[in-house]
Amino acid sequence: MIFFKIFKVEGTSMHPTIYNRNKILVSYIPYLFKNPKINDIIVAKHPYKNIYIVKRITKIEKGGYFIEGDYILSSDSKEFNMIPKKLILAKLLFIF
Amino acid sequence: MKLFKFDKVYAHCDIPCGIYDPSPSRIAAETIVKMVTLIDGIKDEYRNSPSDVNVLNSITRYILVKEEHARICKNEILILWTDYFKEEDLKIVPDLHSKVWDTVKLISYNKQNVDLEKAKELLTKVNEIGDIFTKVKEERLKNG
Repeated sequence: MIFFKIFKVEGTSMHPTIYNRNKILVSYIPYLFKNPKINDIIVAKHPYKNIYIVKRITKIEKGGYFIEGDYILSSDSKEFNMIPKKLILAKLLFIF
Repeated sequence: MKLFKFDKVYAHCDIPCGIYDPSPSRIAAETIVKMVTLIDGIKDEYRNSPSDVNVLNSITRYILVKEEHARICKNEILILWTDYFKEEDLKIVPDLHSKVWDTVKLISYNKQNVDLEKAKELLTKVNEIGDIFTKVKEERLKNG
């Protein structure tokens, strides 16, 4: 079981919080015990592609979690709608 | 040798994201060659009867299309340069920056002039960037 992981970010949709090619440390532990909250920056599985994505949770409804990039141009829930909790894997801890 | 290799997490902004293709720049460059050829073909007619509205209409349309496709060509090349190519690709194509620089400068020249040789040279350069794109893409696929 992995508790922490470092990812390399590719893309600009989380500007100015996370820049292209930043590395992020994430933890898989928080969402084992608690539900994700609004404003959490999370790593999730893309609902239609076999990739991981990093976004911010902006809305929580019965249907799931609405996730968006911080930058105005972002491929996110505006495009693929809400995602279920099971796709949310880890919480951002640190950007470097 | 890389000591650590990190998995990637995507923060995509393009819709559709991650889709790049050199074809639009090639089509635009081919259009520029075609328009310059058409302008060359009508220039004697224009010289002899500059007030003929039909000749004027044709030459204006050719120039307009040349201008528009030069803009498209430059935009497409710059998108590949800024969004598709990455720093590590310089290992595969060390002179990538100068090739892009020369190409966009040549696009500007073709906007300002009607010069068939330079238009053909532009098409060659745009095709070269297309070949670089293919080479880089193949290398990326090889390296996973």
